[in-house]
Amino acid sequence: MPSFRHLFDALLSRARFERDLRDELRQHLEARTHDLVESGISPADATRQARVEFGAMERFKEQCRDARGFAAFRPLHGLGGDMRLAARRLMAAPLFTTFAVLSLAVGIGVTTAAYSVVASVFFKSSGIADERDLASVVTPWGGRLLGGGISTPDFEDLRAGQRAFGALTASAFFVPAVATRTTTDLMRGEAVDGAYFSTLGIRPLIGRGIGAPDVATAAPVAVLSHALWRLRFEASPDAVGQTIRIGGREFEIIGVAPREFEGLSRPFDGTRLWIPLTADPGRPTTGVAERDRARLQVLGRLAPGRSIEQASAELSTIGANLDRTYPRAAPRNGGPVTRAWVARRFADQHAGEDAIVRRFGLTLIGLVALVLVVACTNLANLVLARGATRQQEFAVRRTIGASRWRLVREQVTESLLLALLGGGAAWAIFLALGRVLDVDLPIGSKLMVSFAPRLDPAALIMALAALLVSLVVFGLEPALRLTREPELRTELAASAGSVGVPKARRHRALVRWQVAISTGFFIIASMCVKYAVAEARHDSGVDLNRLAIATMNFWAQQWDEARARQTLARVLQEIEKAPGINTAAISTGVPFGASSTQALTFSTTDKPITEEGQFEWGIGIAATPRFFQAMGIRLVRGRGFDDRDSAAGSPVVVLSEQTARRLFGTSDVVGRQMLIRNRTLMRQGHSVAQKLAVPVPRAPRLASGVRTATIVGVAENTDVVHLFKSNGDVAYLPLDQNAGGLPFAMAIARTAGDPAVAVRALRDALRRADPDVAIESTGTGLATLGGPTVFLRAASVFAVSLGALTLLLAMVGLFGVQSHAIAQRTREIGVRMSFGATAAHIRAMVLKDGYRPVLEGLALGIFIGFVGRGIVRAYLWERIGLVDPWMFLAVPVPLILAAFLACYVPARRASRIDPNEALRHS
Amino acid sequence: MPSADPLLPGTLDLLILKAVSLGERHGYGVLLRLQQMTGGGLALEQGAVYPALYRLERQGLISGKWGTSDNNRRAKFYTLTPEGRRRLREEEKGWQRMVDIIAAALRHRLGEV
Repeated sequence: MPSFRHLFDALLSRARFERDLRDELRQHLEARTHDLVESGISPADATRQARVEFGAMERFKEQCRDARGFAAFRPLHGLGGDMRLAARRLMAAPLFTTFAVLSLAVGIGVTTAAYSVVASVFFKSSGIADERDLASVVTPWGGRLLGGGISTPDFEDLRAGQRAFGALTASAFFVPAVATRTTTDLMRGEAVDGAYFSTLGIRPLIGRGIGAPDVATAAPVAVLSHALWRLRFEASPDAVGQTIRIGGREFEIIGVAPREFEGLSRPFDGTRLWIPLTADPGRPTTGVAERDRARLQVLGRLAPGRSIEQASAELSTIGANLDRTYPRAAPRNGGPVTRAWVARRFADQHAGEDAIVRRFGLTLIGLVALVLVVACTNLANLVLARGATRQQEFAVRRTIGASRWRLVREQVTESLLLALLGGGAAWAIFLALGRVLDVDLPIGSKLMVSFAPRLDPAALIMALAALLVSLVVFGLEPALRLTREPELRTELAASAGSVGVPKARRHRALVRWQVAISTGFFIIASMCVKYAVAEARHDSGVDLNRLAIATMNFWAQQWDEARARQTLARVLQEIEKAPGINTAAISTGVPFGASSTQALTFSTTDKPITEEGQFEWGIGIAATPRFFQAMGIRLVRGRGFDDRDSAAGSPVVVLSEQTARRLFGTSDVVGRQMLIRNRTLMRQGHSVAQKLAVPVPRAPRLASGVRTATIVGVAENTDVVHLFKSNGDVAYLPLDQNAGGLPFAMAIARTAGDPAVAVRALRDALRRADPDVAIESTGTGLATLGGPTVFLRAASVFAVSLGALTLLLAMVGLFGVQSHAIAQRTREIGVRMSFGATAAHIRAMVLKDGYRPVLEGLALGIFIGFVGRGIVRAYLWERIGLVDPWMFLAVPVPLILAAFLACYVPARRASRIDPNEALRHS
Repeated sequence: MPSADPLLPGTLDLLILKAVSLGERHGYGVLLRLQQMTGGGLALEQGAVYPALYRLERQGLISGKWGTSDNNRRAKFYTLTPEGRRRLREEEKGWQRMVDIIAAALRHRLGEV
């Protein structure tokens, strides 16, 4: 490799050579001019004649360089000049430049940002170092491999007896109520032993991890997850050293985990904090032997040279020995009795669940890839069209002595400049999108999707490579083609006079695919449009706007009903006093969207409820009197609840209209009696969460008993269980007459102002009422009850923007290519007209030729869209049909219009050509 | 102006060597000398002299040195190197031999063979 100095010398001598050459030739011209003037020619004529006699200056210069040996390789020579030339050329074609830069910017910026977002959600790294070496100890049971279920003494024996693992760690999940200065929330935590952070290879972002000394002394210290740190401490470094209350005890924050690491939990439901294993009070365990308190999950890093099979063999030996020494009592939850442990790769543990998540992610990435393809096709079309116009110029220049390298280099420089401009614009787009998308988006009331778009180098390189390839391949093609002599002659001959139809097959193929891909894409995106429209027009029966909702969890803190009721009374008082809140209510649930609502079995009095029979059932909501006003649910008959409906009063119930009809065949049921029985509490799933295989906690069992109640009112129908599901039954009871226990309660507040402000007021009111009450979630009505709607709305906006963008790109590309293709046929059109073709003939011909690839592309695109919808539908809402005639009809319209414009405008121009002018056209 | 004949391939280098051998000249001077030597009977784009000069310089047959021209401009002057002188002699001999051979061949008439 030449040294820097060597290169420098070479450049310097090169510069000197160029200067000398220029001086020498100039001196020649001056001397010749001088002589000619002496011979009596005017100075102006002399200058001209001297130049004519001299011949092609640049060609001789090039030959001089050749003679000196500079010609062989001079990659840097004249780069500045080339750049200036390229810039001038690009400025001379502002439309081409704009569209090319736009295609590049969209292609790189949008796809990279979109990919990064999708990857940050669906393919995020676990943050664990060298996951391949990591194995978890599992027990095969009932066809599944159960993790966890290992007691502390068993773990200690296991650690002492094994050799296969270089490091071993144990941890346990728990869901404590965590109180910070502002609020008390339930969240997922992990109690870990001293080797946890070192075994997983996690280095805290700030502060330190939990070490062996913390565990030995049961130190009340905690490590926060990045999400919790962001949410409750505004990502302030001062958080370390502050205290939080976990399960009623003070813990000191000693560190913050890196952003990617969310513990050993599953996607979307990450661990929010870690404490030492010994500092976790756990659940009361009276009467259970220590060996049977099996709550640890064990992870180990394989020792160098040990295989997972060796580890499994060793584990089963140790397990069998322990079984002989300490036989286990049958666990209450019916789990395995023996310690038939095996080792399983940690990476494989969630493989099944991950597969679904990954497929969903892959589908989204597929959409993003389609945008990239459209951008590439567009760019290729543009560059190809432009290259074709320069073909003749290249041919002429090549004949008068331009070298191949010179022509290729010009093209490369131009592409480079375009890529630079496009790259700059892409970077701006990426930064802007990155800022907009850096948010935590809730799914339903509990789960959270953390978008953290970080520039994914692989995605950037892919997008860049794809676009550069299309830029260079299609840009260079004309220049390279002309370096073959026969082609050169053909081209020169063509420019000299033939009128053949231009070889437009490539153009047509590109147009066809471009139309196909953008049509298909838009049809797929239209599913989301349809969803968004349905969502906007849907009446759920509850006025979700201007609503603030908080869910309290008494079950987690094991409060009895009396304490819960006391707290709720205070909570209601405080909310009613809170500023900006018009109407407030407490309820055990809401008709849809909440994960903690009870279910009831209904019957008429003439059909008593038994264990065996089939009965109607639906959602049961026990609520305070102003619930209906707060939720915005209208009463169509009778009354709501009031002070008469106390615990001592006679039992009453309000039914939804639909429920009344189902039970009695009419909605005129006020005054009638019915039977009600509490069922187990149902944990309504979040559809998206379920589809993504996110765990929803098990529900507690509730007391049951059949009661007779008088129907006092009928409420209008609402959606049930989740938004958009209108087919379900609901019965409302007074809170004081509730018999289902009070594991959860919701505080509902309607405001006249900004619901986000009301949410804060609600939180403050709860805190004033009882700082210890565990808040499961708070949020605006839409965010809390809308559930997946928020997520789907974001996805809709995402897909629709991408769709619109590709459509726009496609239309622009189409226009550019068509008008160019027709401009190329000017001479042909001239000939046709001079032989008698009329303007109408020409228009028809041009339109027909222009339309064919568009129609073919549309057909192809509709097919692609059909297949795509099938794939996407597998992950989305059941309600969206595979075939949606309106969309299939509507989507092609803008494309057809664009194609029409793109064909018609140039066609009209072509039909107005003066034949003489056209034939002179070259 | 007499009608000019195109240059035989390969002869330009020889003619330039000859022109330079007659005294130090800059590029334009070499051209003038050439025209003078050939009586204006050569069709030659003037610029074509320079690639030939550069080629010969690279082969070490002539050497260029920067100096000042008659009208006080910076100009490059070429002289023959010893190597160039030797080559000129060889080329002259070779050319003469070639001319003799061709001439002899052209003198033949029918029946002489």
